[in-house]
Amino acid sequence: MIEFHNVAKRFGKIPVLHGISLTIEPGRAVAVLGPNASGKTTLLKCLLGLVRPDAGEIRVDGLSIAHSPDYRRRIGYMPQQPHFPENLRVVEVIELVKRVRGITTSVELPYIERFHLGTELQKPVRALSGGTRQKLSAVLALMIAPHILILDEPTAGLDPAATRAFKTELSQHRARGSTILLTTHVLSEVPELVDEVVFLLEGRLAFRESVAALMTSANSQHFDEALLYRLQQT
Amino acid sequence: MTPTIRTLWEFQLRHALRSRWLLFYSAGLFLLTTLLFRFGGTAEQVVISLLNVILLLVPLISLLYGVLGMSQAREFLELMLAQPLHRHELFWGTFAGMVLPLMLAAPLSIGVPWIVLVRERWELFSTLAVGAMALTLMNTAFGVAFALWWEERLHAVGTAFALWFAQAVLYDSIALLLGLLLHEYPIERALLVLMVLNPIDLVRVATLLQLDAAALLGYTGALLRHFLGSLGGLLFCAVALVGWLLLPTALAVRSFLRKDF
Repeated sequence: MIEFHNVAKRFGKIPVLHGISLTIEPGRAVAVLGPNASGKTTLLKCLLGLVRPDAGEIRVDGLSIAHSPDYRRRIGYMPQQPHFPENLRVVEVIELVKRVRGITTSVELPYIERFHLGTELQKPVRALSGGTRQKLSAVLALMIAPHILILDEPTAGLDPAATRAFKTELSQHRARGSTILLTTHVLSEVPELVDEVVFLLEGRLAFRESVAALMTSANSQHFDEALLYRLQQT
Repeated sequence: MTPTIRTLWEFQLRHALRSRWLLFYSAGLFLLTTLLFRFGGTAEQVVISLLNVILLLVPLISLLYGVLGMSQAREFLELMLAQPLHRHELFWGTFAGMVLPLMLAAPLSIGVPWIVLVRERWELFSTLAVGAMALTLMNTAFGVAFALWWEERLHAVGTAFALWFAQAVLYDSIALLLGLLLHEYPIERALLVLMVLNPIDLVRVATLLQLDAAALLGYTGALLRHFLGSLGGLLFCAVALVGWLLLPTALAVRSFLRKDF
């Protein structure tokens, strides 16, 4: 269970989050949507401990995240723009994350195969394309069998085959009960990835609704139309 | 050292050792030292030439290395901070892996030609090597702190250049100007305090105190030798340099622990 209690954050004089309160039950898949600069990425970064909230509290499985980084053992994270040390080889980046997490088995192998990274393993990161870096980021996030997956624009830069493989993986993780929290600007993929939508506007929670309810109330088969309809009601 | 710091340090070290920057810097310093020993005269004369190069080059390279190294690592640090580790572990693992190869570059690049071509005056080599390592550590730490303070890399690079200019150029002009304008007043002790404010001057004076080169000591160095003698002056410089190592490192740690990534 992920709980945000009155989480507020400002960068300098600019308020980014205004007292967000939100609970995400285990096993739910939730998309955090909103226009640019609405606070989506900041909210996810607060959950990861990358950004320190000015006020409020975040709890994961009942424990405040402020005291120990151990809760991140259960979290897999795909950042918006994955960057790795340019002079390390792909295999070394994977080894680094495994060693930091204390993983000694070859958990990465099925994912390397699924994302066709086998031929890239010995290449230095600087030789990789943006899409291949995103695949590596997906392997790092998924290989740890996370209870919680935090994905910031996960399909940006992936080719269609990799996007398909990623979505298949995601649905398998959902089936196994992982909680998924993602942001995306590709609205068409929201219905197949998540159950619920949390919409942020200028750092405030505008609404939270299930995908099915959104589409039913708008009487539309298209998620973008349904979202627009819902926004007009807000 | 925790296993996590050791792991991070090891991988950061691999990354840094494959850096072209480091290769060019080490090769340049090695070539220069070799050429100076071949054509530059006695060990003392070469040390004076090398000292000037080190005092100008090492702080600048280290500042830029710190700024660019930390700026380029920002997004990767984000990914690592999403792992189950403490921020201080990530800082020390990354910083140690980043700074150690650069710290060793100068002693090795100077040391190899020294071993092959000189084979004497080890006290001079030691002071030069320790001075270069200290300047590398403190300026890299300053560079890292600047990269963490500023979101824009250009601002961090600008601040780094300003600090280098203040250490390498501006300080000498101010010391000289004060000496000229206030020579009728007892400003000697004030100038010694001023010397503590510049790590480059501390390394310069510490090295020159071991040479018979009084004319090169400069105003602050001559004052130091006058008040404390050569050994006392050397100790004074060493203590002040330790302070200079702690200050930027503490600033970098503090910035990293408080940083919103």
